[in-house]
Formats: sequence, structure tokens, C-alpha cells
Amino acid sequence: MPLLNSSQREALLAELSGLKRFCFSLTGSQADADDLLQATVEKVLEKGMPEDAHPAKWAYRVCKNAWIDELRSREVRQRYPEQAEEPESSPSAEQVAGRERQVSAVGAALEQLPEEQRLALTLVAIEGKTYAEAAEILEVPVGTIMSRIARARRQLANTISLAEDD
Amino acid sequence: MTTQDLELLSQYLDGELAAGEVAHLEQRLAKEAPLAAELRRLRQADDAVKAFVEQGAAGPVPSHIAELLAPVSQSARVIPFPSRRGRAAVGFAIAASLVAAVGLVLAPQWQQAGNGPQLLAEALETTPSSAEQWSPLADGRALRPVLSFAGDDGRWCREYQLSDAGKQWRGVACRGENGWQTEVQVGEPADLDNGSEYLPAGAGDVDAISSFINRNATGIPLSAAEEASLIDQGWR
Repeated sequence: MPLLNSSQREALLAELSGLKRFCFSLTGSQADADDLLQATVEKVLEKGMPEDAHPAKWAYRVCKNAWIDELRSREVRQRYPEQAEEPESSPSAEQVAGRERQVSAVGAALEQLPEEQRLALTLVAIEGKTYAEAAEILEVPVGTIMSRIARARRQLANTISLAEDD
Repeated sequence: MTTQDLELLSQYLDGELAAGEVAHLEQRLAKEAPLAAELRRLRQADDAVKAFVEQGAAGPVPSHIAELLAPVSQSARVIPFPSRRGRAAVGFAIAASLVAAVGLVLAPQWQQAGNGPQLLAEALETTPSSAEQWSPLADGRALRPVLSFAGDDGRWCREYQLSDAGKQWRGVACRGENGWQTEVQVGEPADLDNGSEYLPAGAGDVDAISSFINRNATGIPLSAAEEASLIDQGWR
């Protein structure tokens, strides 16, 4: 009956924090990230995985596919609605506004990235995967990963710079 | 900035360059200010994104998600039970009427300290199925076992509902050598359980749970008396 063996379950448990970050970077919302993470785990549990599969890579791939399915099912989506919640007694309105602008700019910059670039950048720059690992997860050639990340970085840097100049 | 240099800088940041390429690029960075400035700009963008994600994804993985994968620790009370292969397979469904017939025994209050998966496992060990009664867990969640059935691999399994801070999940756990372990769990609409009556989950959720049960159950759910007897005997 069980579709995952003990070692696969343990490996996935160890990877959950990383998967959660991955989910957040894709969805931009803590609630959506938790939903995506749960959907990922449920899909892995329901469908199982081959004995010889790398559990973490398998889970990231399932997560990526779940997110793409989700995007396809959404015609209108609002990402990054949950930004830093500042306490009412924060140091000063100006500082708060500055931080909110910065966080908002990063969220907006991420949102503007094409989905395939955000996936590649998140896996490598945030999750620390190698290009080869990211290529395996996203099922594209290593060279494609390299170019997607480079383009993503340039666009991010440009968007954030523009926001800071405003 | 050429595309080639951009990709070179990006690979440099990701540690994807060979040692010789790193040395060559660092020589160029020392001499070419625009190249070095672009590297700083890309690195700052990386740092900003990392900080954004770390902040947004801060906090532990929700316990109901980790619980899906957590193996239940070995319990002294776990005793192997006999194979039930002789049991005749019959049609199996989780229609509300069938669930209602399984067991409406009121659950005793269950309170015990421990971690999330262990709390769930221990509650499943002793709490009868109910169509209306929630049993509080020590961590604030509430459990409602819905029905029990025999799995086709000889394990006993239980469908249950979990409630936590206005959210609900429906799952199936089976009792193996390491105790009760969740096999499948799905979210339910928040307003599912407004009343005291048993209500079926949404169509998608029912699909996930019912397909699991249909794949794995050997017979009809246990009656309230059968389940009570098993609980008394430690599911032997």
C-alpha cells in the first residue's frame, strides 16, 4: 500500500524547508506557498516515486509541475500581496515606507520574470542547486538553465535599480 | 555588457565556472570597472531576492504538511495483527450514508502530550469513529476519526478529519509496524463542518480519499462494535 518507502519519506521531510522557500518564491504568498507545498506532498504521496528516483529532485519537479498546473488554471492572479507586516510602533514612517518599497520592489521584480526564468533562478540562486540539478528538475538542457538565470538576474537587477532610483 | 559576459558573471556567482575560468574572469574584473560594477549589481539583486524569500518563507513547515511524511515513532503498544487476506472483497464507497452507519460512538476525551504526528497516531489508536464528535489533541488541533477498514495488505486503516485554526483536512492513516502513519491527506473547504452533521468533502477531496480507499480497502468499513473491539484489543 505505501507508495513511498521510509528513506524516501525521510528525504522528503528533510527537504520540506527548501521546498517551502521554493514555493514562496513561485507564489509570492505564504498562504499560497503552503497550499502549493501541501499539494506537492500530496501528489508525491498519491503517485509515489520510482525506487531509483532522487527524492528531493523528484519533489521539486512535482512542485514545479503543480505550480504550472496552478498557473494554467488561473486567468488572473495577484502575486506578492503579502509583504512585510510592520508593527504599528515601527521606528519611523519614513523607514517603514523605505523598507516596504524595497520589499515591494523585489517582489514586483520577481513577479515580472518569465515563469521559466523564475523557476531556474529560484532553484540555483536561492536553493543552491547546481545547473545540472536544476536542469534535471526542470527537464531542460544545462545551457538553457545558464541562459535563463543570466537573463533573470539582469532583469531583476534592472527592475530593482529602477525602483531604487524612484 | 555582452550576453557572453553576462552569462560568465552569472556562472561565476553560481560557482559554475572551472578554476581556470574563474582566474581569468577575476583578472578581467580587476581591470574592467564596468564588468566589476555589473557583478556587484547582479550580486545585490541576488541578495535582495534571497532576503525577500527568506523573510517570506520564514517559520516552520506547517505541521499538517510535515505530518504527511513523518514516520510515527515506534510504540511499545504496536502489536502485529493477523493477516486478513481471507476477508472477502466487496464494493467500497465512502458515501455519507455508509459513513453514518459505521459508528456514532461518542469519543472519549483524549489528552496526551507529545509531538504532532505522535499525537495523531496515539489518538487514532484509541478514539472511536464518530460522525459528529471532535476529539481535542494536546497541540490544539481536533481529530475526528470517520471510519476504519482493513487494507488489502493486512493493515488496519482509518479515515479521519483534522481541524486546526479554522482549516480542515481529511486523510487516511494505516497501522503498520511503526504505528499509525498517514498515507494521504487533503485539505477541505473551511466551512465544511459548520453544523453537527457529517458532510462529505468537496468533489476533488473525495476523489483523492475515495480513490485511495478504493485502491486499498478489502471490504466494507468496520461496524462500531468491530472497531470498539479492535480498540480494546490494541488493534490485534
